[in-house]
Parts: sequence; structure tokens; C-alpha cells
Amino acid sequence: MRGLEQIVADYGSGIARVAASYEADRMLREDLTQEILLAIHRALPSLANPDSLAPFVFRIAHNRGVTHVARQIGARRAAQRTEPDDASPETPEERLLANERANRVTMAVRRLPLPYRQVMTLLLEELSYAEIAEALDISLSNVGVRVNRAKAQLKAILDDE
Amino acid sequence: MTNDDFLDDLRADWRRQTVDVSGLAARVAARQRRAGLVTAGNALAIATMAILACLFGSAAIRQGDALLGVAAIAFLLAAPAVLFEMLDFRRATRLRYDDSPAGVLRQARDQAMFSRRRLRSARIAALLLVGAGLAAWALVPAGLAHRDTVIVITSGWAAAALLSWLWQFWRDRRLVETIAGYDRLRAELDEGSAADEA
Repeated sequence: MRGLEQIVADYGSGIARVAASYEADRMLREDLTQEILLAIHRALPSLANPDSLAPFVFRIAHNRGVTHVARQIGARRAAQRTEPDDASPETPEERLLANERANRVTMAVRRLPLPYRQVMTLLLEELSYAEIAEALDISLSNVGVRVNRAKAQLKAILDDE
Repeated sequence: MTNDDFLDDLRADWRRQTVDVSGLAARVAARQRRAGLVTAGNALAIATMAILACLFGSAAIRQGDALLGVAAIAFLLAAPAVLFEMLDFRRATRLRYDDSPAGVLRQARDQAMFSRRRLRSARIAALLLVGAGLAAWALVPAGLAHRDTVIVITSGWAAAALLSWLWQFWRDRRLVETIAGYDRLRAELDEGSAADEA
């Protein structure tokens, strides 16, 4: 059985990026990332097939993200505030540009309807269609349909900016 | 790399959000320990209230002091509110997040509904606390309690009942909004599924 540290090492960054697709506030995002990791740690004993770890991890990440959004609706009126994230390109100018692009993509993903947002974040995390289908409990053909629609909507959002 | 330039560019930008995961495992482990402490704290609070209720109850019998008897009842009434809070906390941490997205939303909604029902019970406990205060005042004209003592004790109970009522009111509003949020997200998922079939 994998420990918490191994999960963080293998999936920590991906989980934090998924958390960013649900939460714009930096502090709450860190909170959500920790909650997702805790939920994964608690659920690990129920993982039947160790080869399905990636879909399992991202399924929990999305499910925890969704409940976080609903709870935050009660806590505040979805203030979609975005702060710059850390990145590591070469010069300060390039870093600024890269940060800006990364933030633009994250904000655009956050504006997608939930079913498309989930599919798109998993695709961006390099999960296969089969893994996405397993993570979201939908058919392979539905993954294909949603990916195409998500890409079209994302393109439109990015072009509008 | 794929043969989709748009997707490749998106992926490159998306993955540029590097995250500092150093110390994350330690922070999560600390959070896990804190969660355990919350449960232990709630259990300790309930045990303390039960012990105080017993102490006040036995002192009331031994000394024949009716006011101590009312105090014992007040402690017994306050215990359920803490107990319900503990049950809510435990249920919230026991959602099965490895369920399907719709399944998790259903579970979370059920849990929020459960919390609302528990709040109603806790509100009744607050009202009973006010009732205990009135009972304590009724002892004064009968000469069974000193007026000054009753003022001090019932002021505390009244403040506790008022704060508890306000907290429950605030919590209930948040729960209603949270349930609406679950319904909205569920509708979004359902719309996505319907669109897939179209």
C-alpha cells in the first residue's frame, strides 16, 4: 500500500492543478489540495486494482473538488479571483509571460461547465480516454464527445479574452 | 505530444503551474492529526458535561438544593448539541469520495440534510435551556434558591442559548445554500450526460 508521501510525490502537482480548476483563492486551494490528499489516503484501502491508481486518485480529486465548490457557495459568493502561480522559466519577463499564459488557461478551464472541466483537466494531466472514462464513470464514447466540446468551448473562451 | 497543436499548447501552459509539494505530506499528516483532536475534543466535552451533570445531580440530592438539580438538567440538555456536532463532523469525513461524481453529490446532499435535521434537535435543546432558566427563577419566590445566584447562573444559560440559537440559524442558512449548490452541480452533470446522448 502506498503511503501519503508516495502519493504526494507521484500526484501532488497534478492534484494541486485539479484543485486550481475548482478554487481560485490560493489559501483555499492549498486547503482543498490537503483535503483531497486526505480523502485519497482514507480511500486507498478500497482500491481494488493498483493499476488503476491514476483514475482512482483523480476521481477522488474531482469529487472532493465538486463538494468543495458546493460548500463554498454557502461560505461566499463564488468570487472568481485569480492570483499568479509559481513557475520556473528563465528570465523574469519570460516567467511573467509564462505565468500569465498558465493563469489564462487555468481561468478558462475554471469557466467550463463541470462535465467538460472534469474531462479537460484529466486530459491535460495526460490520462488516457480509458482512464478518464474510469475516473468519471462515463463511457469511452462520452469521453470523446466531451473532449471535443470542451476543446471547442475552451478555444472560444480563450479567443474572447 | 499529440498531433493536436491546440491541445499540446494548452497542456504545456497547464503543466507550467508547477506546485511546491515539499512539506505537503507533512502538512496533510498534521491536518489528519488535528481532525483526530477535534473528535477527541468533542468526546471530551460530552464526557465533561455528563460528569458535571452527575456531580450537580448528586449534590442536589445530598444538599436538597433544587437549583443544583436544575443546573444538572441544563448540562444534560447542552450535551446533545455537542454530540450532534461530533456526529456531523464524523459523517462529513466519511463520505466515499471514490464513488461516481453523481454518487458523491448524492451522499454529500444526504449528509447536509442530516445536519439540518440535527440542527432542529439542537434548537430544541437551546429552548429547553431557556426553560431551565425559567424553572430556576421559579425557585426564587418559593425560597428554594437565592436571587443573586439565580441571576448569575441563568444569565450564563441565556447567553449560551442565544449564542447557540444564532449559530444554528447561521449554520442552517449555510446548509440550505450548500444543498442548493449540490443540486446545481448535479443538474450540471445531468445536463452533460443528456448532451452526450443528444
